[in-house]
Amino acid sequence: MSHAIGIDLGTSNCALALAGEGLEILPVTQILGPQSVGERNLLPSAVFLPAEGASPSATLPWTGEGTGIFAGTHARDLGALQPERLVVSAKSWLCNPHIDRRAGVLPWQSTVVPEKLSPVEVSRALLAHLLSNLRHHHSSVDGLNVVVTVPASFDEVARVLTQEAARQAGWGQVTLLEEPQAAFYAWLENNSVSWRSQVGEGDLVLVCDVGGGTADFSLIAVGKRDGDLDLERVAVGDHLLLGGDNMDLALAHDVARDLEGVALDEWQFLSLLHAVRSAKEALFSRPDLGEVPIAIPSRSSRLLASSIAATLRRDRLESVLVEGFFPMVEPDAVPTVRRAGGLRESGLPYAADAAVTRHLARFLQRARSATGVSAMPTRVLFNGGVFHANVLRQRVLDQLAAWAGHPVRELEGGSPDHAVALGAAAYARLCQSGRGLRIKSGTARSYYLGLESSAPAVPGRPVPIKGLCIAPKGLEEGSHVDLPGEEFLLYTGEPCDFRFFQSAARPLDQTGDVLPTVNDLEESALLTVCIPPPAGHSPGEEIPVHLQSGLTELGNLELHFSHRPSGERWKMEFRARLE
Amino acid sequence: MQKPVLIVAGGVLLAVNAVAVFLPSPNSILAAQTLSAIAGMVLVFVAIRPQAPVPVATQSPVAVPLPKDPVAPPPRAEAEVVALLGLFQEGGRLVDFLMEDISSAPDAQLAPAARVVHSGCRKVLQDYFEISPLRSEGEGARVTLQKGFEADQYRLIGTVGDQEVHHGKLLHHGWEANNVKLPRISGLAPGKRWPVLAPAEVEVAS
Repeated sequence: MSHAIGIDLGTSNCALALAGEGLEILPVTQILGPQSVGERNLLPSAVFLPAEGASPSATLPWTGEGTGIFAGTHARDLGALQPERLVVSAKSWLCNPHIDRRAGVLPWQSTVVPEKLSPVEVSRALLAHLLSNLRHHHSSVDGLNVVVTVPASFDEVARVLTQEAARQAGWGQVTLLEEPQAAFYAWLENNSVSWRSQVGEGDLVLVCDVGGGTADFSLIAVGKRDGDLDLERVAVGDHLLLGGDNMDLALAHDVARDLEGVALDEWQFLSLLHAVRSAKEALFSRPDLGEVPIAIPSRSSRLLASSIAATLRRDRLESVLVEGFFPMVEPDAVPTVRRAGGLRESGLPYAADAAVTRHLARFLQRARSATGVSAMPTRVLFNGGVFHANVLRQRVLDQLAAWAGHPVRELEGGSPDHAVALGAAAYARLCQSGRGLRIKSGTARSYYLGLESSAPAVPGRPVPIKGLCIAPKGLEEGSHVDLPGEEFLLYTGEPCDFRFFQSAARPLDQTGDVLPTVNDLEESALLTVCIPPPAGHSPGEEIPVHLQSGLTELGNLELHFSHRPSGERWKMEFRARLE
Repeated sequence: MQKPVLIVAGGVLLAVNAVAVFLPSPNSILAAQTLSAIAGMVLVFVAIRPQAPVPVATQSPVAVPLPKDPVAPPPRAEAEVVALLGLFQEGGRLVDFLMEDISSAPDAQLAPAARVVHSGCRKVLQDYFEISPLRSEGEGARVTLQKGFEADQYRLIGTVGDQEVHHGKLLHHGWEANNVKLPRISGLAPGKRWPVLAPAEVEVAS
């Protein structure tokens, strides 16, 4: 029997869901301690590379002894003690255009690991763990229909690399789905009867997804076609490295500041972080508590004389979290960008501005200028563990109401922890059966090739680059466009490189439009094509070719060159690094 | 050969020798006497020596498997208990706390330590057990135990008669574990009966 599987390949945690009669989360067997193995619903997206001879002796049921690298709960916990051997946030590295994403660079800046892993290999390791787990517990599962979720902000290269990692892990061909859409599919599934009473024609739904490490926004418009409601994803936000982990860190630093004269070592700070997290949850779930005492143990076996007492007060919690991360801002607010002397330490581009509301304001400004109509949401679907806190959900609703001038309603019946995996499984089943409501979602951006202008060279000034639009925003899955007017002369027998740009803010550009400059576009990759000489041509000869672009059913952009006289076609490949 | 026969035969040979001593006899008879005396002594010795058990032939011989490892296999149940204690130590420093002498510690020191133990052990409990009260009434409520109540779920206190129905006050609502999903022990080193409660920690000098 064929199965529909959803995989949430998260920045902090992965989850596996199966769609059968209903939707269910499949627990993941993983190493929990040096000598213990067990099941958890989430697989922490942490990969640990143990030192020679220091592997945990616990082994997974599907691996032999001495497995070397491993993923999951124990990897995360052990990695906190040996940070140079831990890889986390591999997904954020996967969409970092400034590193070679197929090259071994992780753990980033580690000096002790001899053979580092590439972001693709780390994703593959996590996906392979999930597949082994599925085969181990559900040996009858075959003919898989697999959907893997990616951030809506993932660029084309990161999408291709995610599919590559899934293929290498043994999952075969997988379909990609944007995480906020997956959360929406899970909500539809949970509320299959009542959802039509919660949204109506003309509603604009903001999916506000703040996970452990990233924040992701999308807008879904509710329209009407053939007498029934239909849904279209109309805007997606940027990749924001800002999430619940930042909030816990901020709180922990705030509490540590009050411990005058007490220096915490790294391990104690970690204990503080755990303690602060549970204190925060206690304060959010018990409005009657004014403060929660916390205690930080020392590293030695003696608890009594060396435990440190501290307190998390409600007013501090609210000033740090609510005002620090969700301040009320004007609708035209712009996140501050840190430019410290022009040089930034290489690494992940963490959001410099912690205010989620400011990022939200900019997202809505861009969506407005992109769609040309009001982009004020009328409904909000919350996702991510952060929004267990009523205070934070209410703050976002208040902020949106203040911007819109009318109340904004929260969609009820969401499941913030597992919605993405469950929604992915629901979508996999939908792809399999062909029945059910789909969210229309074309490309979220428009795409451009960089062309060198034929201008006279001026010494010291780089040749200006023009941008040729090769795919408009909103190009639908399974559709293709030709660029009939443009003819490229390509050398045969050697690779030709093209600079590849994208923009989320230029919805009106059409295929074939030429922008005089690429200054307001975002460069995301290099495209390479290598053409073997067609019959009747010799290597090194120039031949005229035409460009075609299309969006596959699996959700990724493909570009082909074709040579009309010989009828041959060649696919352009994304290069995983910007030069 | 049977023991009494051997003893009798040896005895007869010795007796014949003893009688022969008193008879006039040529040398050849003397030599025969000496040989038969030795034979008689050997027969008696064989008869009275400690007997090795005689293997009993069975109908189908069974091959006795030799243990691969001379050490007995770990007592699983004990190892699981030690591992659970290890979880409480890892999460909530329970063993550290119980092994410390708290008799002279002031309450001000006990409070933060108790919080460390409580919050950590509570998390372990929540992660691996699903626990609920046996009785949903509030403590202090009147409860009635009908005939045939499950005796192992209740501890009756006070004057307990032979009546079929018991009325009383709920002093403690009881607890039960509805679900347990403990991690499994994996990769126990050969020769070790149990996992360690807490590994010794070494900060590696760089």
